[in-house]
Amino acid sequence: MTNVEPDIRNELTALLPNLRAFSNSLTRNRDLADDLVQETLIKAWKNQDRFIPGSNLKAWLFTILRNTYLTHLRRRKFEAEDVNGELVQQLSVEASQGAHMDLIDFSEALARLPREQREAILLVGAEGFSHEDAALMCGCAVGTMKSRVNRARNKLSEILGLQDADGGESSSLSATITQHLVQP
Amino acid sequence: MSGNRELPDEAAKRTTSELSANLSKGNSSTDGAPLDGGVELASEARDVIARQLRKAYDARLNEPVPDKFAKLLEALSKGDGS
Repeated sequence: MTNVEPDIRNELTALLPNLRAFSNSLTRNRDLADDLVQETLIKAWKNQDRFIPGSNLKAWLFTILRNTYLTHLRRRKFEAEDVNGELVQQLSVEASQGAHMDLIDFSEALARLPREQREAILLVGAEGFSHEDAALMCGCAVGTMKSRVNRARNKLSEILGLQDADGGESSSLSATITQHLVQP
Repeated sequence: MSGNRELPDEAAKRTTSELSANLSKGNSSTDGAPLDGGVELASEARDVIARQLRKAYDARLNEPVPDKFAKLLEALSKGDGS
């Protein structure tokens, strides 16, 4: 082993909260999330010679984790996610019928997004990656990543009742915004 | 890829407005036309979503990390993590 190892170990340790937060948010399954993080650490350790010093370690780890998750989904063939957005549409109807943000937990709303949109808004909106970096990590064009983020945001807005189905502001938007902006 | 390595607490310290701005960067194409992704949300709605996303994600970021990960890294550093 090289003398680089202590640095890598420290950096991996420092990034564990981010890896677990992303994995949990992506999979919505704590056991699976931790298994993915564990596998990511092992892969990163064994392939650390492929990591370019000075490049973005967090992006590299997130890419490994995401690819590991996709491999898991293919292997298990259980991508029983809302590919067609039917559940989102259903929830949007419920939201437009008077559901309030308080009644729908944000994490639950996030979980209702199709996987690609969920990972897009997590990477850009929560982890702060640039659209360019997120696109590289997900193997798509920058414009595609921007569209995914935009769709995710719009669907979240619909689910949470911030926007009517036709894209206009919901009648309760002002009250909802006021309430949430004044919260600490 | 950016060249800087960002520590986890740095991301956690980002303000909602910074992340909201990050979300807004991709809000339109280079010619100003709306992106393929639906209507453009009001800035207030974007702020609410950014704030709630930050809150939900921070809750996960602040969860204690189980000891098993430190033990795994220790095992890997000793060469017996296969």
